[in-house]
Amino acid sequence: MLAIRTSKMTKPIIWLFGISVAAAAFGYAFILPGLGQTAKNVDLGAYSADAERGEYVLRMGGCVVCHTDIDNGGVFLAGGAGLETPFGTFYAPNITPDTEHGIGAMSLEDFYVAMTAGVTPDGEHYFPSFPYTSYGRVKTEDIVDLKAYLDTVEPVARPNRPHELIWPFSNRQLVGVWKSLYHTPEPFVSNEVESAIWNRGAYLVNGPGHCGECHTARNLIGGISANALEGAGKSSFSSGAPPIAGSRSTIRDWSLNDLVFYLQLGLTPDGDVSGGKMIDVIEHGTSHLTGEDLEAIATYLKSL
Amino acid sequence: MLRRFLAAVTLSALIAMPGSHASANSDSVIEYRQHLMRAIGGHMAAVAAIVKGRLPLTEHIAEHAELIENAAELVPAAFEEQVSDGLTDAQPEIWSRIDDFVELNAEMSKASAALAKAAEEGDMRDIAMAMQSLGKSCGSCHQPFRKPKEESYKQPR
Ligand code: HEC
Ligand code: HEC
Ligand code: HEC
Repeated sequence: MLAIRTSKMTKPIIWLFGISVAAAAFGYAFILPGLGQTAKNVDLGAYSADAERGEYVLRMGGCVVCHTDIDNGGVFLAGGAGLETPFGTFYAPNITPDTEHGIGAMSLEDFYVAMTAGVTPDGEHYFPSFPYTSYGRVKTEDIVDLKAYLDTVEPVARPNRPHELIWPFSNRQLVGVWKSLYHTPEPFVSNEVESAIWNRGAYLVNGPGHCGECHTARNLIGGISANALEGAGKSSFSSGAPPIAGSRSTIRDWSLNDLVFYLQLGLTPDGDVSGGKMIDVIEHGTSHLTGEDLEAIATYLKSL
Repeated sequence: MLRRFLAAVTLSALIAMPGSHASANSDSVIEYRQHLMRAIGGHMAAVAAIVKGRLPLTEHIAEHAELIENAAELVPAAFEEQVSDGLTDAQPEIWSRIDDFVELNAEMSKASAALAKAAEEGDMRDIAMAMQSLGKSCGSCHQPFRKPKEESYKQPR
């Protein structure tokens, strides 16, 4: 497609302008419908929803980390604290089933399209601060169950705080350009050569777990680099996250059991504790997963 | 005899070292408090090893937790002198918000006492929960007062 190597983009913001002008010339309509299409090929009615499993999917997906204002004792899923990025501050919205302020009016199909294609019920683009770039790989049955669970959550009439974004990044249409570079919703495909537990781990890490959203470096316009999970230095996007794959990774020396333990309790084998955002990821995400799933994640990470 | 003499010489050399007077050498201040933290970490890792390996040493967990509680008493003095330059991850905010720092240390102390209690009672589930709270208390102080991993003086290999 576009012959632009992300790592060599020295003046990406200018590129972005260039591309957006070009895109404007072609018309945004060209970019929009293609991505909204995905749900049409999927039979959402083929699964009978299980809300209890959906609660587990919520933990696999770490949704609470962004959608609850944890540090200020915010109400469960009623909207998160600010996520600071070079484009401004994003506030993850209320996803309780309140019809006015939450997602109570979203149909299952709307929800599916939001999660996988990053498109709103009105056909606009969501900003990729909602990590649909990873959730695009979540299995259909998991999304169906998750929606069934979210429908059972206590609705909270808490109005959403608008994002505080820098022009021109406040423009949702620009996201369409970004997506044409960095997001193709593709379902998770198992690797037949590997074991079932490895594949489960690969799914959890690259799909719902969205570990790469923090552990993989980004370029200046927020595109994810090719060195998956090899760490992200401190940048304007985050205070960084260490490598969990590759030769620089400390966890190469950890046993499978050490990794499982870390994802449960946040304790490292050398007597340190997890820090930064990983504390929330563990407390509100991975510590709720079954031993088998954590072992699957560990098996996959250790193989990288 | 000779050994005794050598010991005396080294000792007096130590005592005569610069910085052993009023204001301590800042490298030593850092070295000491980091070792104190590692000692706490060592007990934490020992507890983790018992739980992870399902070793029949549950009563040791209570001992380690008490040792963390004792070590907590040493923390305020170890951080009394402001040294935030050098091979350290201590954030200068420690000294502008020293009361918060001391309070968070007291929280760790409480959490280790709770772990000791859980370990004495012996229920693995409660022990795991108490470990989680203790770990959280470490994180609550590290979050504001210790540099994040990617800025640590300990650079990844
Ligand atoms: C890294 C932070 C982050 C995580 C993790 C996250 N979200 Fe979000 N989410 C956001 C942000 C930010 C938005 C708003 C995007 C926008 O305005 O374009 C959003 C938007 C949404 C929306 C659209 C709401 C609306 O009113 O249109 C839904 C639904 C949603 N998220 C569900 C989820 C679910 C379910 C999970 C877990 C599987 C999840 N999110 C995990 C940050 C996050
Ligand atoms: C919101 C960002 C974020 C997400 C999402 C995230 N991590 Fe982390 N992770 C971090 C940060 C930051 C650290 C560094 C913690 C510290 O300072 O001790 C970390 C540390 C780790 C470590 C320890 C590495 C070391 O060398 O100490 C492991 C293992 C890990 N993460 C695994 C995962 C897995 C598996 C997932 C997905 C299920 C994940 N992380 C998702 C931010 C994240
Ligand atoms: C009251 C604050 C506070 C509490 C509570 C605390 N720490 Fe620390 N810790 C620090 C600070 C500050 C540093 C950085 C010290 C430096 O580099 O000079 C540190 C550093 C460390 C280090 C790295 C030492 C090194 O090698 O450089 C470890 C390991 C550690 N802490 C473990 C723990 C554990 C485990 C707990 C809980 C049981 C804990 N800490 C509780 C403040 C605290």
